[in-house]
Amino acid sequence: MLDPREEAKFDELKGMFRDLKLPPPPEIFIGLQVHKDGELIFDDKQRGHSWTRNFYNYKCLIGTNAGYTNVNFGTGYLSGKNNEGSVISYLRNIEALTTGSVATTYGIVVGTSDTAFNVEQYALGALIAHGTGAGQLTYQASGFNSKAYALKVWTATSKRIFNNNSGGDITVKEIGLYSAYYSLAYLTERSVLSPTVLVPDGAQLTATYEISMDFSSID
Amino acid sequence: MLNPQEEAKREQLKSKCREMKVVPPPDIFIGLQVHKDNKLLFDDVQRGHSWTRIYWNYIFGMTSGCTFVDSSFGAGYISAKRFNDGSMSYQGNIIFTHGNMLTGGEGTQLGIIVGIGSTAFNVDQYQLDTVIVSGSSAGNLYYNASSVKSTTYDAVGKTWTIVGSRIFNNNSGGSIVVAETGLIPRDNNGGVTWLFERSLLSPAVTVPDGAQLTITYTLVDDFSAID
Repeated sequence: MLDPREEAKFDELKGMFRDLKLPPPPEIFIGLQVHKDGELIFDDKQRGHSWTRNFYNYKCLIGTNAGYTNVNFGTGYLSGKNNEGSVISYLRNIEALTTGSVATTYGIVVGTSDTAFNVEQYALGALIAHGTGAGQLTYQASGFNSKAYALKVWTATSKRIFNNNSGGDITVKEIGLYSAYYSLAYLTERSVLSPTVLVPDGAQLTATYEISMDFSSID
Repeated sequence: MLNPQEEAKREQLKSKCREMKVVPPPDIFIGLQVHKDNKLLFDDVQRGHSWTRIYWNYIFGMTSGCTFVDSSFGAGYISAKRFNDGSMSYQGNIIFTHGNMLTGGEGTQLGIIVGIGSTAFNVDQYQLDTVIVSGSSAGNLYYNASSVKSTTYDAVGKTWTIVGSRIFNNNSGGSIVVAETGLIPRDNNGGVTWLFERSLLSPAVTVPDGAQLTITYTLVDDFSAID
């Protein structure tokens, strides 16, 4: 659930951006719903605030005309790291994350690790595999669903449905966004969920990413 | 020259961004130097702070997956107008841009550009008020290629700094007063360009006949929230 104190701080921050007429960083809100037998058994909304270095570098590259420095990855390098740990120089538009297929290397992905977030992470801690075996969830296609403009805020919404046909309960503890350039998938955001989400056998998890940006200083 | 009050507000914002672990948009500093006969006639640094709606839309679109398919432009539309004629751009153009606004050798259609207009900045502008044409005729400046000079990381300040510059020679036979500058990126596949930033210069810059104007854009991205 959202933390009122943190939300107040973000409101203050957005006010400072408005004062200077600057584009604020995009915000992330993650909707989590679990349905079983037609009943809503879990419903929560959490703030995602864990953009990875892949994202920061991407934003710098598109916003400044910087070039890739892809010898290494980390502080002092403008590069990316794919989900297999290889340094890459192909950080393409995040649009790719919204056009995922059932693959677990595109779009919204989930995992079972609660390892604390670190900006250098390039993959989920323990990705839940796609399938119906033990510990697996069936990933539906990840897709861009809508954009909306209200109260001078743009919101882009993407969602993905995960069905638990594994024969057992699964606790989802982390969620992330994979973007991709051809076969190169890379993590742009990872959130450790609090509370975690129990998906009982036979239930369906719907994860919704809302990425919003406040345009009120120019609109 | 820089305004101390504005600079103080920027520092407060950056401090808050560090606290919240978010990255602010890049700072823009515009260096302006005029040389003639090997003498420095004018030397100033001004802050650029006039990102256009196209830039805002670009950043939101590139980070959210929101597509550029709206047929109108302005508040409530995610779209872009082309620099050269104001026509609408389509998604395939803008998603491949990668911010290449500091490079270019194609006259007034790309990179750092200058003009004589002094119309107040409006976020919906997609052109300079009055672009100075590249050439040697009356009212023209000769545009040399724009290029990125350096990309550096400051391990102490934890900032990335990207510097690009362009030289403009005045062979027009008369003085020219440059009152506005802009940044024009281009898509990676072809010749579609947009205005990402326009700054009204204060003071404006007089470039005498036979003089050379050097404009240096310094873009600074603060990574101190994560590094």
